[in-house]
Amino acid sequence: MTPTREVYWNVSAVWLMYVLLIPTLVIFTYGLYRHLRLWQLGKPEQRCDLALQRIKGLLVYAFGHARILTHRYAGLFHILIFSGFAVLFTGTVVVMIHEDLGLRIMQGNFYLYFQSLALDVFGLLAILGILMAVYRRTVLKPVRLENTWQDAVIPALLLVILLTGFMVEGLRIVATQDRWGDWSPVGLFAGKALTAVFPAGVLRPIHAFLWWFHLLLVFGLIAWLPYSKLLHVFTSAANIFFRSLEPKGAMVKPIDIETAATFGVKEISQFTWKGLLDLDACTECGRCQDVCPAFATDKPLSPKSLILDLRDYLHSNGSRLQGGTIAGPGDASPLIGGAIKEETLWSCTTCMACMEECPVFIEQVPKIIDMRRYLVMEEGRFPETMQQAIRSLEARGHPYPGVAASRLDWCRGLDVKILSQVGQAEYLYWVGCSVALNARNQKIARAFSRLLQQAGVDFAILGAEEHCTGDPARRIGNEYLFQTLARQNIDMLQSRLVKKIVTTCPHCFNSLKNDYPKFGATFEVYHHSQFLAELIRQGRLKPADGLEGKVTFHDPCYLGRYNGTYDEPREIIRAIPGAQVVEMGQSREKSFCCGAGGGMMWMEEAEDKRVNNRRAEHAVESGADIVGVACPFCMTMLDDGIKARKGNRKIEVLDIAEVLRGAGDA
Amino acid sequence: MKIVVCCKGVPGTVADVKIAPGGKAVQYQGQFLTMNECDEYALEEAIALKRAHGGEVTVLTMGSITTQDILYLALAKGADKAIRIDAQIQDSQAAGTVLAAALRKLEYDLVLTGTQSRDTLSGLAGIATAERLEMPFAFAVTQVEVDGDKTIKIRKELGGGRFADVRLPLPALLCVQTGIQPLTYVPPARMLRARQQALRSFSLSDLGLAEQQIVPQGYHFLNIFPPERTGQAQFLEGSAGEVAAALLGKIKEVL
Repeated sequence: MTPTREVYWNVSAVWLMYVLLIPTLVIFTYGLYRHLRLWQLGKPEQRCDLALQRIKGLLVYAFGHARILTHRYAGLFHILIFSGFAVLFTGTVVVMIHEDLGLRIMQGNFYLYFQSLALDVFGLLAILGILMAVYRRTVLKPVRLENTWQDAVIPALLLVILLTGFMVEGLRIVATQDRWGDWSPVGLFAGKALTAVFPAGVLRPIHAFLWWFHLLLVFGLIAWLPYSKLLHVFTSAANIFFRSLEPKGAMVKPIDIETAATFGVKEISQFTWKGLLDLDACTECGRCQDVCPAFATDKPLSPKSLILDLRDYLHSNGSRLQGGTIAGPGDASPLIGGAIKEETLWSCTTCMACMEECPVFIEQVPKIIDMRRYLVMEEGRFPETMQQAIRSLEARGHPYPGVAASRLDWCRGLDVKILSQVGQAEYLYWVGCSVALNARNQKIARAFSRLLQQAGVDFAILGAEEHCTGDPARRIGNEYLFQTLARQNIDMLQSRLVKKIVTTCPHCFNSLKNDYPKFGATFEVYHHSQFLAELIRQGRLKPADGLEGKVTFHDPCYLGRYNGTYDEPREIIRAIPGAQVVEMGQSREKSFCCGAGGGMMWMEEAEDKRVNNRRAEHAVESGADIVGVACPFCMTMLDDGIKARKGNRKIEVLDIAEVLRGAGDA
Repeated sequence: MKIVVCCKGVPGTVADVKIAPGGKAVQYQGQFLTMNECDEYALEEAIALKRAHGGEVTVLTMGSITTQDILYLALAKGADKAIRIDAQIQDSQAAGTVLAAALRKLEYDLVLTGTQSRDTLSGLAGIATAERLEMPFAFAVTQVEVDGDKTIKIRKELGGGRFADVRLPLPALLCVQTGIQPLTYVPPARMLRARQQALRSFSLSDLGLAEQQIVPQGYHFLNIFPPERTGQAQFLEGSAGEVAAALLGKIKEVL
């Protein structure tokens, strides 16, 4: 006899199930459709290219849980619940094919191994997962999670569905004396337990009742799904599929200045459809908030609240935006200044920690920049100190008002060539305003130039012809100024026949490498850490003795998360005899911003909650003697942070080039 | 009230300024001129007066086509009309002659300008203009109060930190002091819209002037020097407390 089972044992009026299915699917479809309509309010954007890469991402990050599993406990229970319900859903599809389509697949070994054993095991794992989740929400209580009524109802509902499912299965096995009952161990156990408690006569009515009860709960769950937090099973997966495939450094999109009627995002419908999908994809897990340097230092920004506030605004203003009537008095409140506070937008360092962390690839930073663009380009409303930097950029080509230093001050006595004078050199050394015009950072340029000379590299600088790349303008939201500076710089670099560029500033590096190609640039761009590591590999630089001690490396956001360069700076430190690398608690992908990116270099922070002081603390806690940096902004911020410390232990802040060159020898 | 603001275009950075061969003139290298900051305060004051009392603001500049950008900036800030006199003049008194000739062609109750320009620091152009027009003027004005159709009440700086309130008959010319109004940031969107507006221009012959009338009279550069670097700046290191203590020590040394 072939192993199988009767599908509708002890169930009468099965037709009622099909009747109930109709409203269930109507409510479900309408819920999804409502969200779809809201996303359609957004502007067009190409996110369907490179389908294979997108499908791969779906497999790795949605089905494979790659990012969710980086948090072990939460990742584990999520994959238990996810796989449990995925297998059980497949089991239901098998029944449908077997019974409704008449393709008799639910039999034989497939019935025993999959439909009986696998379904039981995965159902049990799902129960375990739900219990773990409930334990976390009620006992462990991580700060980033806020409990709402849905967080109680959803696990309860799922748990009851799973338990009644096992009871129904068990009662059938016991009552029919199913000879393959041992293949469903969990169900069998449930059946035996019920038999022990209830008299034999009521078991069949209990089975029938539980069967319908289980069915109603499942149908209810399906109907409610698009209206609940569980919507994320669709939106998160879709968000992973439609994620940006650009490197993080290139995710800010240029504005077409010529054709744009208005600049930036003032109204929520000025985001793209993908920007709006982001809002419904959020699972409220709060991992972004946990890694946000602004949130950690009590600034009025949480990336999670930002997304949820935007989502709530979209939901409550949806009908107005679709041309309908205003539903309530609060509906017509402005997006910026209303749902999203201006101080929130001016707290972001654009460090990308949130986007690196988000398991479903929500894009918080480009949204902040889009809203800043409106404030800066349309209203001219942004912090006074940033305005001074922008005015200086417009008038003097660098963001440091009041600085009178020349771009050649740092290289006096160094025999560094100037491109306009020598005509040609293999590499252009792009020094950057923050290195060339800051007394402390000029030493970085000196150390790096000496290393290049030592290795026999043919290089030249631009001197007075160098201007800001425009990175601060772009991140502050002045896209117009950024594009003006970018075009000027590209024209000048092309007229000087520049092909290869190396720079000591990750912000310049990112602009030249990721921002400029959109405006026709085709330069080969290196950050000095990459360049020095390569010179060491080639044996052209031989690090000398002399540096004894522990060095920790602070990953700059625009080098690490923006451009994926983590190993080269550490390679350089390790190449120095006597030097030892120690890591801070938050390093590499999880590096904690110095507090200067995104124009925040030009914001005054309250003394007791400065991001740089927090990071300086991390550096000291690592037990290092030296904290290595690879960015002039990080240099200023960490140097200030270490100096402002109350404790006795002072450690030295050195650029990676200075570490290699030997401190004090510049 | 009809207000004309005279604004000068000056180089944005010192790096753009070179001494011409021969050492007798200053050359501007950069393509971009910015609005002389002292004059920008005059423009802000004019716009504040227009906002409070109504009227019209016309901005007037002198120079080659590269000065156009500062006119667009003025329009973006809220000026109604913009005029460029097509002439390049470094001598302040000669500039006064030309500005006065242009003003004779315009209607105005009040002329505002800054106290001096960042590049020549002569502080003369405004005064020379008023003198050519035989018009009352005040220098280093810190407050303007409209108190009737025929007169204006102003506060001006005197030496030693003193101030004076003065009443002038209209039309008058005021050289306003920096800080009279905060400088506003002009958002790019408004700047782009300003660029769509038309600018007027006057040539010297439109103003009825001949070249020889605007040659500097009795004022000649003998030699121009680059700045000497002394490198005297010293950076104090340490915590806020340490820096303050070190700074106090330095001050005590001097006293």
